Amino acid sequence: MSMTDIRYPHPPIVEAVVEFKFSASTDEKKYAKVLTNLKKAYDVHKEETHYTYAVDMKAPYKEPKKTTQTVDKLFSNNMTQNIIMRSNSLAISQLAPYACWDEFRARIFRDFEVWHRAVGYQQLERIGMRYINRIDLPLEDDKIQLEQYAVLNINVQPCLKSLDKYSINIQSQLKDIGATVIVNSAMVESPLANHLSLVLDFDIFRMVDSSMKVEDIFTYLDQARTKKNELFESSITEKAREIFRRER
Amino acid sequence: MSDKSITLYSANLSTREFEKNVLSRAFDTTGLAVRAGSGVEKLAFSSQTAQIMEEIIALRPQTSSAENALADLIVQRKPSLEEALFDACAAVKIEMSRVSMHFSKEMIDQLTSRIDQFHDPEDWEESEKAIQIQSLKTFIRWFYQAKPPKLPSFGMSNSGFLTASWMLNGNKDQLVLVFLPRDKIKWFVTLDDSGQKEYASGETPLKRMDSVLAPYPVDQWFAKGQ
Repeated sequence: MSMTDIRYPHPPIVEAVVEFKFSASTDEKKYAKVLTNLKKAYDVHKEETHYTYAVDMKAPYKEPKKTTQTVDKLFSNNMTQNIIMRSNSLAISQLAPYACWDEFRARIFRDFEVWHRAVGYQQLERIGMRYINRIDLPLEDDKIQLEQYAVLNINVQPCLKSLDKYSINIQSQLKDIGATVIVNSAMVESPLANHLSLVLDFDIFRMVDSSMKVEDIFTYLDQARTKKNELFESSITEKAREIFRRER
Repeated sequence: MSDKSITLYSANLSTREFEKNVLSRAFDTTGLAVRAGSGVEKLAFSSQTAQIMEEIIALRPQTSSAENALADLIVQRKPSLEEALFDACAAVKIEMSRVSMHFSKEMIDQLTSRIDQFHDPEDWEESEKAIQIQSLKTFIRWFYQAKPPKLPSFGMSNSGFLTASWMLNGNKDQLVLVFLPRDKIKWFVTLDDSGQKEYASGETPLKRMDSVLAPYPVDQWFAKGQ
């Protein structure tokens, strides 16, 4: 079994999101049909209106340019499965507990197909996949030796040895899958006592400039997910892995 | 200077209400533009919204960091009782989701189901407060540390603090914990020794709970099958 196929009983994933952004807005009738059909699969619906006002600072008393957009949010009863819909995008999210890729992928496919059947072919502009992981590290003598847990690490001068928090942001190209990855790593306060949390946030996105069939979209998502796993596994040490490999 | 955008989110206002009553206040406050508006209703802004408004005001002395720190203003009418209670329950579920990798599904389901019951709008009393997330956070930190094998009976005080209780000896021996914000816990012990009652209570920081409860039969309260 390769490192990318490992399944943990309690993975440290706090949120996984896949977002499809289209190059044009969907017409109102088709959007309404998508919303009606997706509501059948979720328990709660909330609608928001987003107003954007652009003010020209050189002429502040001029009427600001206004755009409005409706955002529909759908949730499961336990709030762990949700969708955020706009006329030009569909974001499907899974909060912890994260079961496995197969299950998440099946829901993404189901919901994307609802959109696709109602709207028909639509040119994609961007496909995004984001996984946010949080590993809760126990304090030892009130501190964390970060290098024991994280390969993606920082070197600080000895006078800053006691590290409370840090953050790193890296952007790189994943040429083999035609995507870009933004990696955010940070040490933050933990929800558990006597712990600090290591956050590893992988945001993989691909700008789309040609048409993609549905099967190609999902082949790409499988590749992006494999790449995300490679990045995650190579960012942590075995000692970190032991923490979430343990049974409760 | 470049164009500035402010994105304002409205959860449950019509466009007309929003522009008439909210937008004029927002721009008036920032001094960027003044729009005519009369009969502006006073709307309920949360403390978070007030903070965001201050950030918008800070746009006036322009620096690159302030330009980049444009905040979103979330404005909504004061929620109905049903909306407020729903939001409270949703916040609990999201908070438990964050730590679900550390706890059993059984515990999470039991807790969230009880919270839903406590927040039933049909049974809600005006004097009651919705669950306080800070209380839940104290519970999460205690439960992870103590790991009681037997799940408690969950309750909620009128002030919105989560409670957990265990019973023994035909419910005559009781341990009740009330989870306060900032890692403080109120505890109440009742013991019955052949009709002779003993009571003890206190308010203790989380880190001292083990030593404070050590004189009492905690292992028995927490043991499954009891």
